[in-house]
Amino acid sequence: MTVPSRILVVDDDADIRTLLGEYLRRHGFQAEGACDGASMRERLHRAEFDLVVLDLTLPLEDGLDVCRDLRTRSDVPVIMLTARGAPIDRSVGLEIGADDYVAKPFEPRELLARIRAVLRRTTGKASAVRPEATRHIRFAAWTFDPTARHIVNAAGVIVALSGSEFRLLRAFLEHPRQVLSRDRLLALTSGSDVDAFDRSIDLQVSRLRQKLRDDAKAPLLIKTIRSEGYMLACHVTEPA
Amino acid sequence: MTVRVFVILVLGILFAIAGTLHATAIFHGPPFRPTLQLSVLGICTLSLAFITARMVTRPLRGLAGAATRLGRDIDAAPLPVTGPTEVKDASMAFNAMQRRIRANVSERTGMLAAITHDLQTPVTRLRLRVEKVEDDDLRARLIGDLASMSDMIRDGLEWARSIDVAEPFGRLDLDALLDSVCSDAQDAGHDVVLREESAAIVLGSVSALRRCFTNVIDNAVAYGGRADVSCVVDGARAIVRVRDSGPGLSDHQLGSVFDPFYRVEASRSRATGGTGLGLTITRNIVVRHGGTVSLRNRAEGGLEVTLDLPLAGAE
Repeated sequence: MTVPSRILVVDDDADIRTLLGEYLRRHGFQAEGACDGASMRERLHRAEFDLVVLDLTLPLEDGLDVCRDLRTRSDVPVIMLTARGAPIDRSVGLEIGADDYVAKPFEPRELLARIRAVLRRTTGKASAVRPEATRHIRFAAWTFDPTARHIVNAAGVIVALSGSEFRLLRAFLEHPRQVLSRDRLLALTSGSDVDAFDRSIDLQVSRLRQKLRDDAKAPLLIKTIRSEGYMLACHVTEPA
Repeated sequence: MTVRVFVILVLGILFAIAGTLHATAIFHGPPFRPTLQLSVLGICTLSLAFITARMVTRPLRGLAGAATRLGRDIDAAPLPVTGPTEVKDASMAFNAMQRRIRANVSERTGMLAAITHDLQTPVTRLRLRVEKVEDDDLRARLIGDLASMSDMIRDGLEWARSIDVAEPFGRLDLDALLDSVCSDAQDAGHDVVLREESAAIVLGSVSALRRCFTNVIDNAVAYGGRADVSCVVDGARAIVRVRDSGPGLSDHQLGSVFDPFYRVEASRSRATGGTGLGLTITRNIVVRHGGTVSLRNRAEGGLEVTLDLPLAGAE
């Protein structure tokens, strides 16, 4: 990280804005604050930001509207801060284009890890459509819902994924028909779980193949590319 | 209904015939045998009594069934108000009672949800402020205290939701769900094994059932060192067993562990802590899915938690 990433913190609570800003600066980011949607738009207009941390419960405007509006004009990654116990908000937040979601009260290190993970996933992807920010994704006979950790098969049966399976599948779906080395997969999947000990990528792939009912001996979906890594071999679509 | 009215009509006609025959016999002397008349009359009376009794008791049985359902599901549909006046009154009173209980429950859970919800902002502020504490030891202790508060907030909201919110149900692959919960526990470094594939499909909410199994498996790991999870299909039900290698529970504890805020004494240490809501949330979720959850000490040692859920399509 040669140039520090610029983070905009949008929260109506002045203390949280200030405290979070200080915390992010201590950890090598540049941070600014905005107290509402209007002030956020004004800041974004004046300067480039690498990521927005957006509180869902703003006083004048709904955070979801702010996010939806932001999506129509910018591709800046967004992490939503929201109240716990609101699963509907979560999925709606992600559907309208937030890249991740952290519930209050959060562990500051957890937010830091998520910010870094989102930046890692989104940097260098320019203005390409980011599938993680869109609705359901279809691949082979499966539907992937990025807002819930599960996939749905052709018969409509819901197949739950573990955290590591979810991150691995998301990485593949964001890079369909591209060979991904083990190191690249590790970087794309070492997500927000600060203390999780990582299984080897090979083991994770074999578990994911089992979930996808992909034969390990002759896999059709996740192919092993000898001495290079793995590739998602099927077509990926996003239904309108 | 129409069948019953028809039967009553037929019986009425039989009564009339029997009465006419009886009257004829009185006015025109012999030859009719009174035993026959009496038995026809008797059979008619008995049948009428039986049918009337059934008409009256059927709504009462409905009432009894509704009371049983209410014990399991506060949101059960209200009773139809039909039958004799007394039964109608009883049904109306029952429906009013159900509404009041439901209002009480949602007021209570609403209050809990509001308090825990409003605590989130100050706790977030506090957590960020603690980062500025220079004294390492003090900071670590403060972070520990705040983590317990965050757990209480999380569990309080989960509890409120487990009582109040009906999430949409879908058809779930139970093996995949258990596998994902066990994998997450393994990734967190816990000793958890999943044995046996059941191929069971159940109707339910993924997030609620994930929370439910996570609670049980986390408990097994926290108090029993490990979790041995299995799933089998028995008739129209899927049966999930979670076993641990801990000391098990006393009879008194077995009777109380599902109570909100009940904590097994040995667990009040900082290491295992817990809010005492985990199993209450688990039971609420299982009951919402039409299932049951029970605990028992195994003869070989350790505790076994059994959760059973109806299979999808089994009705």
